[in-house]
Order: sequence, then C-alpha cells, then structure tokens
Amino acid sequence: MEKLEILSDAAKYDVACTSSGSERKNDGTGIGNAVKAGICHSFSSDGRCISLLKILFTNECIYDCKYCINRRSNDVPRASFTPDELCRLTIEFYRRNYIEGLFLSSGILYNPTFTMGLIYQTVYKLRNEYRFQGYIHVKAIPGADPELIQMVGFLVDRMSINLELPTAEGLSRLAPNKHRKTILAPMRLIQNGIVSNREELALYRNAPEFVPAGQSTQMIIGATPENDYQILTVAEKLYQKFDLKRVFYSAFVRVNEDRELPALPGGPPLLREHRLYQADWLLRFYGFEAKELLSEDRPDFNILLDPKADWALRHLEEFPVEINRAPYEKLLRVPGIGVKSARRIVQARRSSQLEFQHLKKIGVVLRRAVYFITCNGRMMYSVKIEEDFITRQLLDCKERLPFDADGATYRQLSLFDDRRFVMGQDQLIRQVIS
Amino acid sequence: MIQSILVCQNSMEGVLTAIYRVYEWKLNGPDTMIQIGEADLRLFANYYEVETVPPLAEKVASTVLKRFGEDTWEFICYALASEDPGKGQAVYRTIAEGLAGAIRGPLMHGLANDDIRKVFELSRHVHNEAHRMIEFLRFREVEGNILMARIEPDADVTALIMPHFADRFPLENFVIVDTRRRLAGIHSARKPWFVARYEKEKDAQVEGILGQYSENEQEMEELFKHFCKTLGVKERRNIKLQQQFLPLKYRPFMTEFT
Repeated sequence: MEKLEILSDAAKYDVACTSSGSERKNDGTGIGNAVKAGICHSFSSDGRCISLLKILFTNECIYDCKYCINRRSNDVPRASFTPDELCRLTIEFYRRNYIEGLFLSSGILYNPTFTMGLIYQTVYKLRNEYRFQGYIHVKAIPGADPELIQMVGFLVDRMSINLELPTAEGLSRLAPNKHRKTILAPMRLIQNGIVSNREELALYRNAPEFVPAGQSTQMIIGATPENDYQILTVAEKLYQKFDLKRVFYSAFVRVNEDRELPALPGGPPLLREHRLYQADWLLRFYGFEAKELLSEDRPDFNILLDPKADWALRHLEEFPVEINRAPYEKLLRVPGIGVKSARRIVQARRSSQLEFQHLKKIGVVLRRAVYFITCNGRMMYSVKIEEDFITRQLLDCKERLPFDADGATYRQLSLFDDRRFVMGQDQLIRQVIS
Repeated sequence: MIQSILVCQNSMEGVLTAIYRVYEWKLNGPDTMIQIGEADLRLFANYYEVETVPPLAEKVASTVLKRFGEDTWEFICYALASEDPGKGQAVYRTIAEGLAGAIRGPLMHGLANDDIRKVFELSRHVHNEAHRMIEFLRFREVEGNILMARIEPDADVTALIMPHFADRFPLENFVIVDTRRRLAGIHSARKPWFVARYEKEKDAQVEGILGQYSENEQEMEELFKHFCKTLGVKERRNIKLQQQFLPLKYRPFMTEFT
C-alpha cells in the first residue's frame, strides 16, 4: 500500500495518460483488449483523466534533474516494485474495470540499460505469463541499449521519451545528466521501427506489431524562458520529422526549491498550457502551420483569445466563408466550427441547402461563427467585417476555460499569465539575489 | 383530417412492429403517429393498439438493414434504447423518409430533416451513456470468483455494453445488473453472454449478492482509492472540471467515491 502511494505519487506529474491508438480484440486465451479511441475510467481531483495505472517501477534515481521530485539530492522515501507485484496489481485493477492498462515509467536505477531491463521483464511477464492484452505504455529510457528498447517495442502499445524541455539549452541547465542527443536517438529508433514494421505487416499479416499506438513525448512549459513560438515550432517538427502521435505540454509545477527554477506566484501557467494544447490541435487536425499562428515578432499567444479566433481576426480577408460551397479545409478555419461540425456540414449540404437554423442544430457555435460565415450569400445579421468590432464581440461571449470552471479556484486573468511579465520578474528576482 | 395514432409497447420490438403495421394498414402519412405507452387522448384521432410481434419487427429490421445499411441500423438501435417518449415517432418518420427516397446519400446524413436529426441526437445520447458506463462501471469480486457490477443508467444500455466486456474478459464470470430496469447481463467464462430480466420479488436477493465481498476485495478497493487520491496534483486542483467529466450521478456505484 505504501509502495503504491510513493510510486504513484512520484509518477503523477507525467501528463500523458491516454489509452488510445490501438485496436485489438481479445484472442480468447487471456484478459483484455484495446479500444482505438481509448477509455478514461476516472478523473482525479485536478480534472485529469485516470486511464492507466500510472506508476514508477522505482523512484530511486541516479540523475539530478532540477525540476523533478525524485532527483538524487532530494530526501524523499524511496521504494521499488518487483515485476510480479506490478503484474498482479495491473491484472486485479484491470478486471475490476478500474483501469485501461499500465503506464510504466521509472527512475534510473544503477544505469539506463539496467532500468530498461527491469521494465522489459515486467512487460514480458505481463504479456506472456499473465496473458494481458490490454493497453501498455512505457517510457523508453534515454541512453539504454537500443536492442532492449526494440524488444520492449514489440510488447507494448505506446512508447514515449520525454523531451523534457523544448530547447537543448534549457535541458542542459535544468537536467545536467540528460542530453538532447540521447533523447532524440531512441525517438528516431522507435520511428524507424514503426515504419519498417508497417511494411512487414503489409507483407505478413501476422507479424508481431511494433508500438502500434505510436510514440509520444512531453515538454515542461514555463520552467525555462522559451516562448510559445519556439515551443510550437519544436512540436511541429516532432510531428513532421518524428511522426509522433502526440506531444504533451505540462505546466511547470514547482516541487523543488532551486535557484535555477522560476518562481510562479500565480501557480502553474495553466492558461499557457491550455493555449498550447489548442494550437497543437490546430496543427494536427485543422491544417494549420506553426508559422501561421505565431511568428518571431508575435512569439506568444494572445491571452484573451484562443489561437484560432486570433488567427481569423488577423486574416479577415479570408472571410466570410460560404457554408454551402466552401471546401472542408476552409470550413475548418472558421471559429466556432470544429472537425465534427465541419464534417456534418459537408454531409448535410449534399441533400439540402443549409440555413443558419440548421447550423445551430448541427453543432456549430453560432455566436462565434456568425461574423465569419454566409449561408446562401447572406450573413445572419448585417455586421461589418472589421477587426475591432469582431474582437469586441468575441470577447463578449466569454471563452470557457477549463480552470475557470471551478468557483473555488476562479482567477481573473492576470499579468502573471503573460510570459514576458513572469520572465521579467524572474530575472529581477535573480538580480536581487545575486 | 383524422389523425392515426398507433400505441405500442416501450421496447425495440414494440416500435418496429408498429412501423410494420403502419404500412400494412396503409396508414403511412405525415399525420400518422407512433406513441409509446398510454398518453393523453386526442379528440380527432383514431387509436390503434399494437401488440408486439417479434417476427414482424424482424422484418422491419431486415428492410432497414437492406435498404439503408448497417450504419443506419445501428443509429436506430441506439435511438430505440433511449427513454425519450418521442423516439418511436422519430424512428418511424426517419424510416418513412428513407423509404420515400426523400434523402439523397446515406439516410443519417440528412440532418436538415427534424426527425432524422432527432434519431441522430437520441442515438448520440445513448452512445454517450453507453460509453460512460463502459468507463465508470466498477466490478466487485464476490465469493466464487464472480465479478458483479451495478448500474442505473438513463437509457437501456446493458445489451449495448455487454459485447465490450465479453470481449475484454472472455475467461471471467461476470454479471452487470441494471437495478433500475431489473435487467442482468450475464457472462460465464468461454460462453456467449445474454441478458435476463428478473422480478421485483428478487430485489432483496440481488442487493444481497451485490453487497458481498470476496477475500481480497477490500484490499484492492483500498489500494485503488489511495491510487486515485495520490494522483491529483494539488497545485492544479480543479473540482469543477472533475465534475464536468465525471457527473455526480455516476458516482454512487464507483469504488473510488464510496
């Protein structure tokens, strides 16, 4: 019990907890299956989903990363599981429908290869002795023997390697034992493994699958001075060059006292994290590019408007869009129209002319979209397509932010949400200290 | 003009039989209505009582499958599992529009039509409910290595979620009990699943079985509760967001909230 507490407490700062990307039926000899869209089984008190048994194999670690609660120089209770304990726990939780699978990570015990070996043992046992066919996500340990990583890849659904910080410079400052190169090398290895496995599967249908749900990574936001444009560009590169399934952003939570870490008087930069996720979605599903959303001159997101509305306001020449004729890609770029409603519009307009009343029922958020669309050549109200006017209107219909939902932690947007301000203040503090 | 109203039973077969009768009795038209169970009588209407006849329902089902495909059939099945009183009428009108050839392309894409959209919405509702049950249902091990789960969903989803669990746990004996509708989805290891109805007199007995614990059940429940508690990051605490994703009505039967 205590062990579970220590090791799940130590793992909780990891953000990725999705069980998606794999579709697998049970073969009738074991327990478990996997569902493409993933299943959340519960939600913790911070509103994040609990899908997998997210846990560390051990929280002992030879590294000393400044932002991490398990760093070597911290005096925290340490514990380790045995492979059998972990397997039994996973199975017992799974059959009660508590969880969707296992998310195994670990501190570095002795050296990366040894740690990866422990993870391999556990996953091998779970798959072969306990016949577990549910979802498994493991962290590949940077610097571990590539062959070992390859072997683990054939047993799991998803693998991830944390980029930790968006730039090499930030990494060397806060995680002196980790290097950009050792992080990107296994990422490339897994990518190549997935590609060659895809060819194999095309040839031999029953070939073993290699990381079928793809790989993901995560970055800490707000611990180092990178701006949103840099972060988003890194994410875009990861999607394009490394075929990542997801990049996760984790608002920096200050768990250690350290001179190198910024003080965040307003709590973790949740709004920034939220904006990054919104932009991430725009990259992956809406056909946007990082350089369309931000630029060197405007490197940070607007704290008042979501990135899509912000883009639309700066590109009013593209609007209004005619609902009954515009191509799907154009519809996607209208604020208030999402992937689903765009698809429904395209389907429904085949059989009849769409009017504003239909759009509302289809799921378009009209109070945002009205300024940007026409139905059969007419706008809903006669409004000027003019930046100031629309900006004011959009700001009036308040955006629903996930952390505004809670009355208890309601916060006004403050200066602290602006990165430049926080960073400026941070430098000031450092100057005062030194 | 005198309206025709067909009154049928609240079940999938009931509604489908009524639809069959509409065509058999040549009542098809925009004023014809299918009503589920008793309701206020209207003055200018002819009422027809429809007895459920499974073979006739099957005929309608196979027509829908043949004419509109499996996807549309799935939408209709899910819509009919809801508790909405208007579901019969919406499904009837949707099928009628389809048979009349009023919709180009796949039937369920004609969302500009009010009835089709209603079926679409009902179906999506039930889909969400079923998915939430798959997420939030909790099994508890009782004596004899049997897993028991209790649910009280708004829509009749037991039969819709059984395939998921049967595929997931082929070697387990498990039972999902809908105590609101007195239904039990039963799966024995390596055998096909089925849904059984039980009578009101069995309520106490069912409650008794649901309240049992096996030997290490309590320990597992404690472990999971602790796990959920430790997982929340206190700097990000956000109870409203949690509630938005996990509404209170599902919590009474969930291990981590009891």
